[in-house]
Amino acid sequence: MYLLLGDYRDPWCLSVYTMLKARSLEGRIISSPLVYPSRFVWHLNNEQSESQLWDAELPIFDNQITGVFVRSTSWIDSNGWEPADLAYTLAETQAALLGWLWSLPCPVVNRYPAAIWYRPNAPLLSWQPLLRRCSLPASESLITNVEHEARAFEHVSPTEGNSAVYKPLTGNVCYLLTSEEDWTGLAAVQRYTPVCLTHAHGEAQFVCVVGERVVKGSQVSSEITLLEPALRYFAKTIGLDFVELALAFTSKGLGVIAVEPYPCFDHFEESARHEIIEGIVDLLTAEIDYSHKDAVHLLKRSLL
Amino acid sequence: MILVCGGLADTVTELVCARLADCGYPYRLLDLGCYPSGFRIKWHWQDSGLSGYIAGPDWKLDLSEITAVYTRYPGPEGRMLPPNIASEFVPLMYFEYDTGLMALFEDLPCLMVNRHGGGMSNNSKTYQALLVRQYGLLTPPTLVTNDPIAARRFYEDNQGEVIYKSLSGIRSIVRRLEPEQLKRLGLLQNGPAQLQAFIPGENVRVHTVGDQIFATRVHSEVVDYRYANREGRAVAMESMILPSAIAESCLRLAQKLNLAMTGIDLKETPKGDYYCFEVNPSPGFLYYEKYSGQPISTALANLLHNGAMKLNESKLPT
Repeated sequence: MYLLLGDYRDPWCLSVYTMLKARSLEGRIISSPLVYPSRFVWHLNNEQSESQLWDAELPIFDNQITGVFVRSTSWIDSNGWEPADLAYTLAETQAALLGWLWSLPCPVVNRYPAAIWYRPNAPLLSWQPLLRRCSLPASESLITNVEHEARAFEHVSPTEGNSAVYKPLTGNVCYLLTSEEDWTGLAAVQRYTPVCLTHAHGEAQFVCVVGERVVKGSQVSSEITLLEPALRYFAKTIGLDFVELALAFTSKGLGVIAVEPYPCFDHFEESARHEIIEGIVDLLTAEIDYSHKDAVHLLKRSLL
Repeated sequence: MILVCGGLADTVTELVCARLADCGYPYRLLDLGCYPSGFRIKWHWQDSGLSGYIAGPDWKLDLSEITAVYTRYPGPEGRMLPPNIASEFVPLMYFEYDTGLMALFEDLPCLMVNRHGGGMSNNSKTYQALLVRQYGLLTPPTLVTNDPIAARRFYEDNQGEVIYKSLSGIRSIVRRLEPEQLKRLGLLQNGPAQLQAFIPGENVRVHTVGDQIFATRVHSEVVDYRYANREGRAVAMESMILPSAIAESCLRLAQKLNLAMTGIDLKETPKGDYYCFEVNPSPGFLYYEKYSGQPISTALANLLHNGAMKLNESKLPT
């Protein structure tokens, strides 16, 4: 039995489910395994870990789970909840799910390290030390609340068209700084908070690392091929079997502009998606090395 | 130079600053109680690495001069409200501030007490338990469930000697599961809870500071001694020497989690077994230092100073 933890409408889940079925393997998509109507019982003590999950009528024992594909940390319908209670229950559910995933002896894609599980949307800056360690160039960034330092950043690479971009660390929006009015506005923001600046870059090019495969999105530069060993090494270093990176050209060359621990389906065209899904299913169905069956061995090795 | 990054209103941060001063170790304080107000910062990430500075009212510290950092992020109650910001945006502002600081500290090549990543394991007690039990410390029989029937069976199997507490990083009071609460087990369907067999014995709080260890035995009749005052009960503490195997387990665990300082919650049973409940990456050690008299803050000050010394030595030409 392969568990696919995610929304029923998630295209990765559906595609993996379909490919498993095509290989005559049973998969089940579950959006919230730890919340009613699912029933979850996990006994853990010093010697053993045993769990049962009832998604429908029949229980699934942990030794019947042959692989898990993880697309969401948990989901709870917010209807009827007080915000504080919902936040608490979500935190508890996520904590239980993370622990449980690490207790399973089967392949789990991805068995997220806690640091990524709890900060899946960490800004690029948080990945900088690891990117450097893996010889992956990243886009240049500046955090400052000093007006003249921000203005100087605009001129670090005085290539024509190399404008600065203001990108809050905790948001998804970007603001291109092109006019004097933009810079005046930025200075006003700096009176309240340090701002994060990067340089404007070309169109994002997406790659997905799935196990040993590096699958490229459409219109990807040939230069990315040179980075394939580094991309594989990066995925291995952060302990993810399935991760997306976005790269783009700036005036200083090709660099990583984002790391996405939950790859986006729409960033890849049909043939690339097929290869990614094949890679995921291969990982899920891989023969387990029983000398390292205990996921805890992985835990000890992979802590960031 | 040592950088202390915390809120002065926080008594632990205040103690760290006082101890550094007492020891004669120079430091700079990035006061998160008012940050970024009163500070100027520039942190520049390039392929060659990180550069920049932090400047306070009358000092400026180049990032390359920072040799050790102590961090302790205050909650909203320990921070000044940013001026002219609507209250609904204030948490977002704090989040933005802290995210930048965390990115900086993850990338500084110096001793960090503690790096953020290592402490994330404490947000899932079961995740942490899977690691802890590999290091010679025992894990109590634990049930994580959203099934009221399974919870009741666990209660009965353990003769009603069961406690419940949060699984996540959200602080909760550890309580016994009483017959009255069994009526509310139906609520479990809304989300899982953690039940544990009650372990008899005495609580032991262990602080690891680098390769030093400070163990405190806590005498209390209350299940969660941290809240003994609320029940009008007393707590007494005394320093103790851990069996060497347990001390080594604690140090190895802290090292594995990449935590230069930890607060590890243990319980010693009457048989002399040691159970571990959690590894806290940002321990409030003041409470234990005050009642047990152990020089935890001095050890921390020395660690920060020696971490600095080691880094300086490593920079010397060979």
